[in-house]
Amino acid sequence: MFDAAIIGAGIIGTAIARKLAQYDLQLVLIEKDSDVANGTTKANSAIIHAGFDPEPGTLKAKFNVEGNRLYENLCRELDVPFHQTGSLVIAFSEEEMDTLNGLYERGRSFGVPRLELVGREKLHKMEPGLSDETMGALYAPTAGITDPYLLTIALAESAASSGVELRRNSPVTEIIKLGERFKINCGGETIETRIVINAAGLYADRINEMVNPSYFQIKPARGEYFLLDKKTGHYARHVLFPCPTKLGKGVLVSPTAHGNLIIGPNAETVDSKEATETTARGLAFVRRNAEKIKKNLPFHKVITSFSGLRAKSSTGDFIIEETDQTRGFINVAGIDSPGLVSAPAIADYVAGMVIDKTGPSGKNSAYCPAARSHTPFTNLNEEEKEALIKEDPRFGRIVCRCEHITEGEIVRAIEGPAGARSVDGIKKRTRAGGGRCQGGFCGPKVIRILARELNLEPEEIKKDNPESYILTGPTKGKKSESTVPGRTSTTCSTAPGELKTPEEGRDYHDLVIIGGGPAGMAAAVAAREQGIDDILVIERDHELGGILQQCIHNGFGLHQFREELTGPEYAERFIDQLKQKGISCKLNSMVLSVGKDRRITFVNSKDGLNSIQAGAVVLAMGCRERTRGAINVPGTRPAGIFPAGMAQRFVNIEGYMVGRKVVVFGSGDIGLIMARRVVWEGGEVVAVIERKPYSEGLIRNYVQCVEDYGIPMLLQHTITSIKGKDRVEGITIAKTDQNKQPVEGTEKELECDTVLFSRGLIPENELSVGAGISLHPGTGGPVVNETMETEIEGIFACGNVVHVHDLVDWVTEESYKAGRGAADYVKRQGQEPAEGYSFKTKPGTGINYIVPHKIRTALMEDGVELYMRCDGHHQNTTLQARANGQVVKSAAKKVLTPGEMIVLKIKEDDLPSDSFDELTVELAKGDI
Amino acid sequence: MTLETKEMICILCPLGCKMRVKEKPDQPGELSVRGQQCKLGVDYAYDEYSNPTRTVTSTVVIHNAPLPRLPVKTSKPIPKELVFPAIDEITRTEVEGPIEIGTVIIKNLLGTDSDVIATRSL
Repeated sequence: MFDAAIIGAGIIGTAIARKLAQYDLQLVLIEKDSDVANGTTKANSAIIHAGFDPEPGTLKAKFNVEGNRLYENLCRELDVPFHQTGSLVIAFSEEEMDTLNGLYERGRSFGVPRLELVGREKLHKMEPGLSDETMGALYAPTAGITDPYLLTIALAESAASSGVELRRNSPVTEIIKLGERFKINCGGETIETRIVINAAGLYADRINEMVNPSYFQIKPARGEYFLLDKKTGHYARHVLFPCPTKLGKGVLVSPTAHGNLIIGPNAETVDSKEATETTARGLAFVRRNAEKIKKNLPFHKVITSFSGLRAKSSTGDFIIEETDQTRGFINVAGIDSPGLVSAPAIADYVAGMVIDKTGPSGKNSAYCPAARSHTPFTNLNEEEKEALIKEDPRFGRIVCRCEHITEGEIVRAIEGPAGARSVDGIKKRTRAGGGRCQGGFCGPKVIRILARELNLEPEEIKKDNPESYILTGPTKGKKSESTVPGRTSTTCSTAPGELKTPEEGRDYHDLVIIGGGPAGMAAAVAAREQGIDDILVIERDHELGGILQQCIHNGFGLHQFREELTGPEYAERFIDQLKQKGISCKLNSMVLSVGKDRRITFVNSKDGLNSIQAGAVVLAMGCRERTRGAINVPGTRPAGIFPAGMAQRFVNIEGYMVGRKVVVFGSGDIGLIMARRVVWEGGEVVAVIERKPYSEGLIRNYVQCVEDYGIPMLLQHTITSIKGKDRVEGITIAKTDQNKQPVEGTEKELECDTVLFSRGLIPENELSVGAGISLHPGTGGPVVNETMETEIEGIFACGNVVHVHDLVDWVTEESYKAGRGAADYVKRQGQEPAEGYSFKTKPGTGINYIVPHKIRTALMEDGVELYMRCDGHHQNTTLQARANGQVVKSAAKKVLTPGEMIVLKIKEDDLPSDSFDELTVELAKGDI
Repeated sequence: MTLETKEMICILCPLGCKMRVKEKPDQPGELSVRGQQCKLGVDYAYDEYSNPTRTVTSTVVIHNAPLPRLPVKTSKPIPKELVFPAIDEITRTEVEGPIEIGTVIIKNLLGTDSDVIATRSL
């Protein structure tokens, strides 16, 4: 028999549970979903409001101001981020200035501290980049931001560690009042309790109606949001609101507790309590309104969009009371905004009500105010990091490369009575998978770790709730061997023969290459051939080869080796060369930063944190996939949505199928190849969908991967919505117009359980940007010269980190050049190269970009290949290179397509004898 | 007797010529090829019409190795109609590590004179 049962483990339920856990009471916290913080708590603005907004006399007014005062302490106790950024409500007209005055007076009467009305000039100083039409603002310095689900998890951990029984996957189906006690049926079990606390969020009305007549309704009000890349938080210094209207607080722009930028929400009443899909219309509204507040918002840096449902009550206010009809039953319902900030005050109040009923209770001697640290590894200082890795080497293994989350943190998140059980659970607790690649790289690793720690098979690991399966089972229909040894050593390789490991304790290397994929390996081989002995390759994976290892199809090496190889074969040829040449490698090692001075820090589980000096650096980190979130396909966010390359890793390396009925979105080569892989592994491909009028991949891949298997290729179509709550259930497609936008009225439904996104690749340049290297807008990679040197002396770059290549053969060619360039730089010891002149390259008509961007004639060797991409299909055209207007080289081309890289070799003999500034390459004629 | 007309896309260059290919009624073995923009298309059409072949790349289950799957390929292209039988054969196969790149996993696959070989060491 419990003293109290709390229904709903959102911010309110967990806050109440933790508060009550201080007393000597038998408590149970019941959650219908697989995890805490899974409803409204999961998807909201995360704002700790100052408290001037609610109507006077409401519970919202009372608890908001009180809650705000409690927040700093609460977050400090639980080791959860809370930043008091302050908020600005911005007025655009005299009328709105009047509204601000009213809010100011109201806030003062509530006791909101330090409110200030600021004029235009001061406002623009406080918050640069605001729209020009702003007139003034209400400044509330006590407003702030937190991480609502981490806070809720921390509350749940504290409660559970103090003895509160946490039951997940336990939807309440029935509550029966029997005299002085209640019987609750939930998740197939019966619980008896003296008091029931209904904190069921969106479902609080239904729970109430299990014992009481209906006297309020919860009307879900959907809000849609954009979340932007971690590097964008500085776009807003404060929480920025427009003037509130009767519809709500409006679309805000705010930094998040983790340095992202959040933009939203709209407000739309919806019928269903599960309608958490995003819509094109809603997101467009959010964007339009945000742009009224702030100029130049970086919408190209969106990493995902999502929507949440506010639990709005029909009374308009919070409902916090013991019901008259059923004593012992306490409703804590209708907690929409400002619910997050009010939570600690509500918890205190409700705990008081409970104690009034149970009578005075002793203290709980097992009360645990905070269960564990929530400070991410990456936020620790060097000594703390070193100490942690020494104590537990798993903290030296970076699993999520975008957010730098370690295996140690993931394991810590799984442990304990409120530990993570799902991939989303890991994401909420650690942010692994919440970064810019949205789990594209770390997803398979996170699943392996969850399976290992929970003693389950990988296909038993869910995205979230029990129906949200990610993998459909092992390929070849057999059980996969789930233990993957050999992946943790920093030195071992899977191919026979040994990779050389660097001598211990070396703090300098002539050349350090970051990335052991095709680019890094070719650069290493070329530099060694130029006589550089002291080379170190740092690779984050457990083996060399990079993405080639999962590209098990053929078609590689026709230019380099004059034969057709598969990806792993191409990789192994280079791995063998690194072995033969005795080039040192550090595997399972993640570079954390590269300085302008070529000082490199990296981490692994064996050596901990390392700082080394490089004579020269080659950046060869490759690229990542553009995600569903980045291209803003509306709909729900169920399991079954994969970037095509992530699916390729699952199928080809991990040995797991990702679905049975698959749609491929985008006709890039990875998508086409994966369509065939799915068919060969026994799955069905419903369609390949391409927005353009033509397939983007190679003709050969279209014929041999799609046409051969009768897979429909829907050209000039797009996905307008993804459906399914737990797992993808289908998509809506529509025809596209000339601007690749959906045409209204052409929508059609397709049934499927999986969507693979093959929508392009993005060079991974976070390290480059950290080193101060500027990126070229056309390529997304560093600006480089003819030796592939970046703008920072001694730092070179090659492969997909510079620009996305179509064939690995060109990556190899380009990387040889970078390796030779770096070797030459080391040998020159900072001396400038011999004379000559330099010129820039410039894309002309029909050309999107040219690499390299700058050429010094003294270092042209026997010529420089210009790598280019064109802007569309061109037939019977002529590629022309002009030096200061005069044609110096031309080549007739029968056909050029954007999917294939154009290579034009320029020799010194081609160039005019006098120096010139600019070499333009253009397409002369014959467009179709 | 009606002779079959096959529509095919030439894969030899990005033009992707759509071709109509059929056997000339009066000259057995001789093909009529329409739609190609160069001579290479005709050669491609002859191969693809009479003896289309494909390279199969997949994985087999590997035990006692650092990874659960070993990538493999057919050592040379096999007749197109044998692709699915070949996939079945490969799916049934399991190997023990360690395996070196190039190791023959299935000899003379379905009598095609093509072997299934390992495409990496594991």
